[in-house]
Amino acid sequence: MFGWWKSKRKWSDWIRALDAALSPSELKWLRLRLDGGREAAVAYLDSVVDRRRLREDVVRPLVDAAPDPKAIRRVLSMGEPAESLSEIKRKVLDGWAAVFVDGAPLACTFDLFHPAARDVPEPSTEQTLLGPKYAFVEQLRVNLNLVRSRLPVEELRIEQLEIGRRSRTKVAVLSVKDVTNREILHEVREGLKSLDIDWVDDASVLSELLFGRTLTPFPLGQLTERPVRVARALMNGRVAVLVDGSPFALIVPTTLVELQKDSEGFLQGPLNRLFARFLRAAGTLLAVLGPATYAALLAVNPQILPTPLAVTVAVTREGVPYPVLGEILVLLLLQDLVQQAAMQAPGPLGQTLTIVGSLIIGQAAVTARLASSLVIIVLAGTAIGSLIIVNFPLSFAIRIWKYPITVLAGFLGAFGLVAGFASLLVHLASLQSAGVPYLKPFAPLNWYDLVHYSVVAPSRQAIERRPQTWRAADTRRTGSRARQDGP
Amino acid sequence: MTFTYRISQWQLFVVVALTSISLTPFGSPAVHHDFGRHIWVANLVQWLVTGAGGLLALALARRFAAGPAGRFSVRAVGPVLGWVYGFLLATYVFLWGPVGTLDTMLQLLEVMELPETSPAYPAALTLGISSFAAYLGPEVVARFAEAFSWFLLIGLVMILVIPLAEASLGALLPVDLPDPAPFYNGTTWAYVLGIRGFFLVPLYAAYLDYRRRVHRPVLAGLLAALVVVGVITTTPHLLFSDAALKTLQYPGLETMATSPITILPVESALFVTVLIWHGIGFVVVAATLYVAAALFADLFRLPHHRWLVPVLAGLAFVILRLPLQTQVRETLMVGWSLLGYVVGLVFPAAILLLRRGKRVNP
Repeated sequence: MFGWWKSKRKWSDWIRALDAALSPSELKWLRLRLDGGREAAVAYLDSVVDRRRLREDVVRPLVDAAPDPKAIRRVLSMGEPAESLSEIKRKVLDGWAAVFVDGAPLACTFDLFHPAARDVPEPSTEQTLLGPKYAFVEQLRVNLNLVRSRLPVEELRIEQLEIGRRSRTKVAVLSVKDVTNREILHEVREGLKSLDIDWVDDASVLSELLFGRTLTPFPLGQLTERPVRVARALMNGRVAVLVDGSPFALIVPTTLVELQKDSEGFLQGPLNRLFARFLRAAGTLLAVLGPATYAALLAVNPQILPTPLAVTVAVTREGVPYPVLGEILVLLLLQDLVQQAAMQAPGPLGQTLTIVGSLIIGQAAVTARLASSLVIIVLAGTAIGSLIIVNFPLSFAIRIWKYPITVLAGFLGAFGLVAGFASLLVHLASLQSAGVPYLKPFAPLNWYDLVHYSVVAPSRQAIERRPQTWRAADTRRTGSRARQDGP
Repeated sequence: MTFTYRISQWQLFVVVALTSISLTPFGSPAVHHDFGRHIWVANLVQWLVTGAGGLLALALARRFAAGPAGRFSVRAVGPVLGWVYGFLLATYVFLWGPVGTLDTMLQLLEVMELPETSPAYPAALTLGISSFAAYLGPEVVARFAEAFSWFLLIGLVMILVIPLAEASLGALLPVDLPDPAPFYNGTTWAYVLGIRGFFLVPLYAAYLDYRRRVHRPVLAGLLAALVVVGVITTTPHLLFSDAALKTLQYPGLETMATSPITILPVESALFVTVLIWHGIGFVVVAATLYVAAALFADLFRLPHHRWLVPVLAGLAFVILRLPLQTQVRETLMVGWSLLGYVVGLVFPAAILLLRRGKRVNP
């Protein structure tokens, strides 16, 4: 293996080659004197290498073994030979140290990567009361470790790819052998391989690139920061993609219903989940249709309201100097500005901003007769409805869609409301995620998933069988077939 | 045309049911006036006509509807006659959905909701949204209909059940046969052919997985529509006298104005009813626009139906904006209805008698 020891090549040749290829300011060289007048050098990137391990695992053993060529060879045999300059470059960039010895045509490399790690945090965007409280970080290796520890099954398959002509970002495609649908896995894998881009750094960007539908605001892949959710998705037959540098995993395929499932997962009883899902569905409808209904009923079709209610509403609007549609649109925009500002502000400041925005500005607008008190109630309902949506990208999509529906309802009343909702449904019906219709299991209807997973789950059948939506290769969780499956 | 779309039995059921419960049957106050408490007789004849049309459509679908949508007529009766039949069917479907159903929707809007608004805006909006669905193909139209049906179902149940609380079956008594005079009226026959979902069956059945049975969803869809239309058209006669009904323009809808829904903050069930018919109207226009475009595209050997969807939508908009007198409009409706009998009953019966074909959808 180390027959190159007697080569005549000087390590200084490597210095010139590597210095030309990499940034000289970041590349460090450590010169060592070995036996018989031979010299060696260690090349590494100071920013990513663990210096303590460099000292103790590479430099000190080499220096101690210096008089004895056999001992040096023994030390070098602990590393991996690199066969070309491009391989050495890539490894050095990845945090390896390359050891060059005079006369050797190859380098010997040691993995000394020192991640700028932080502790495994709690989820920040997917809060959970009862589930496991740890989330992904920015290091792919740590994230893979988290998934593996949650899913210690031998059928778990991790395929590592490099995406980005320049960035060569590491991406891991996770699936479970004999469970994941091969067509979906193939589609995801080939989609990733076919990406022609120079730099990728985030799972959400990857989602857009993978599906190519950039005009829809709805997320076609599910982003999650919870390893437990990735593990569950994998065991249901879905595919997960982890990107080095991103604290989120991308799960495909996904559906509108799946994005609405809460983080409590299977830890609650069926009745609790049914009620929670009903609230979530009602909140979503309120978020998207609430302002539009207000505009339709007050601006165009007040005759629909019972007379006492119509009188009450008219009194609340007394003195408001502009039409209903203008009132609701301006306040919706203001509300979204406050939400966006609160999201970007640091924690306590964000909460303060929300309170100031929603309560104080709203109350001031009503007092100044710039808005009716009813519209503040409608806005509060809309805000709560959009906040109850678990998935943030989905919540954002709903926030966008409420504007055109409100405008239509403001001009054409109940008809505009139906037209806006119909256009939303047509758009949702046209979406697919890795070949799975976005509205499944409602459209196309799948009674099994609708009953056992989307509405009432978990039932006994849900424990025994996987959801049909993901077209898993092995549909059963129990029974002899499941036990026999394996490599 | 690439034949890659697939729809499920449930989606076929939903499309057939919703396109059958469309607005046009209710835009015919003359039938209510002519039949009075004998409206159930007209409904029974409607059952017979729909049953015959449905069975003929099913037989056509099972023998000839495999592969691209527009080809079944050519396979059935050869290139020339098949082309003529296909053209008549496409014309009928186009006049039914994007023109007829939308026209009724616009009239309803003008009378009940938006008297001051130009019909051009809602017409353009409806055609735009439906065109988008039709452009994306039968799978998206079916999924749109299916998704919408969950919301429409709630409303339909409400508008069927709530008025019945005040209804009296005794209003239909005595049970005797009506004067036959209304049956000499073209409007009656337009009404009787109101359950039109079966016209789409040979075209939509082509997209059903060939291993699945087609007759169950189609018959179930037609039956559901017959029940809904039967209840909605009969209910006004269970609540009001014949004389009172003669003052109503849309008896099936305006009856809802007297049905309060105290649980919701609305004056009456009319609001829910109007929303439901608008929703069904969107589904009908989208489904028929797609079918008409697919048929015309195949007849004229165009590469894809998508080319024709905006053209047909534009044509429908122009037709809807034509200033027609009421009498001319009614004459055209009767003529169009007679065309429906030819393409929905006479022609299919002749094809089935004269051509054997292969059973492609057992």
